[in-house]
Amino acid sequence: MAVGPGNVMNLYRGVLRAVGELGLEAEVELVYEPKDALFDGLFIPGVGHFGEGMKRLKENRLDSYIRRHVAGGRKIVGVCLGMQLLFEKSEEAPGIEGLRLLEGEVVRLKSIRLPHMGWNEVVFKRKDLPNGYYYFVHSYRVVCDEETVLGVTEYDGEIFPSAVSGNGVLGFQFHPEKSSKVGRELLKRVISCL
Amino acid sequence: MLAKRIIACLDVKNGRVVKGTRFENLRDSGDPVELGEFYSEIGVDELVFLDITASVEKRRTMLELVERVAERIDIPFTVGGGIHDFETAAELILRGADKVSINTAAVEDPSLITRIAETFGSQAVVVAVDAKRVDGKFVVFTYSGKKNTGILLEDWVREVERRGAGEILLTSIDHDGTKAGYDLEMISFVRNLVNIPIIASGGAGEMEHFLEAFKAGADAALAASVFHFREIDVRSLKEYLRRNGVNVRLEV
Repeated sequence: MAVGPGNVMNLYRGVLRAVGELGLEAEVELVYEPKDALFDGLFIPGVGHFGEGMKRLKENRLDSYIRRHVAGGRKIVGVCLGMQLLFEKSEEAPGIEGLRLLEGEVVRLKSIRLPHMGWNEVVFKRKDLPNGYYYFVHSYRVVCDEETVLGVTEYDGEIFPSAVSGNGVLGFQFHPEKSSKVGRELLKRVISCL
Repeated sequence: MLAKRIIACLDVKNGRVVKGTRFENLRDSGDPVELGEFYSEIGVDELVFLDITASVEKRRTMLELVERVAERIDIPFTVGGGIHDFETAAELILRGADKVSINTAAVEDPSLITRIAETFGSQAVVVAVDAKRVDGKFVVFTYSGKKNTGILLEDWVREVERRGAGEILLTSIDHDGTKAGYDLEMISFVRNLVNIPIIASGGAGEMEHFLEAFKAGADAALAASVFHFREIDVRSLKEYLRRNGVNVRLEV
């Protein structure tokens, strides 16, 4: 989904590269507005403010397009702010409703050294996803049930969910599209499961 | 735990890498994109492209470079060198640069820091600070180290942080080019003044120098010639740092 500014083009290139390396016959499109057809997988990128992110989705009626995908059993992958938007609400934008596809909320990280920026370790709960150092840039984190947590990361003494999943929805707080080899590997795993 | 970062810096002039390089396995090691991609594959954490072109074509060549880098390289990169206004900074970020580095322009108009940070987030603004000892005090210099601003380093780094910079690229003019080690005194001096990340720059010659810089409080260490001339191998450097208790990203 081309909801900019931010990591749209990087994520798009990352997905294209992963599809290419997998040798898949797949169409990868930048989606600016809802279409009649549904995709097998829909990536929601995004960096910046939660409130602005929701506003951009709603302006383009992409929020309902996302819901049609969920209802149709298609997969959604949120990256960075795109992951946070999957939840109910955020401290960053009081009173603004998120997509509510996953139960939980977004709160500010406790560290005084923000944003949390750089390479940090992600430990996945599932063995088929590659643990390693991924690239992060964010100041807010998700609080959700243990069953929604797919992977965790520690920053400045605080452990938070850096990957989430549930109801056909997947979310990464880090940027696989900026995480070199391990990021490419993760995108390939995700895309081959769509 | 957040990893300490190793950053390779590439000086670029008219679209070519300036300092000579010795990489037999590269088709064109003078091409900043090819060299950057090579560094990314061998485990460098971040790249800085410093454009030192001095011509009316500069803006166009910088934008082209950023587009080509973003197209091919999937680690974060910074672009800097003579960015003097918000419009240029914004365009570079929108074309794909993760961060822009500003130096002289930030000293002359500190509101530029805030404007970029408020628009793109503080992580997108690196303020490059060149400093040197003058009469026993650290003083800030601009115009590639040529102009003494008379501003004390402690005042400037505090202001840089207060105005929303994401990190400080701290170059010691006294140590730059010496290969005698980073300016540990300057690093720990700044560490005690600000919370934002510090990138140590100037003086790297041996692996031990990187370890010392991290112990002095740097979050990242930048080098150019020791990587370009293969005097230090990135993988060996990271293994050395990890053996010595520094948390670094090692790829499997």
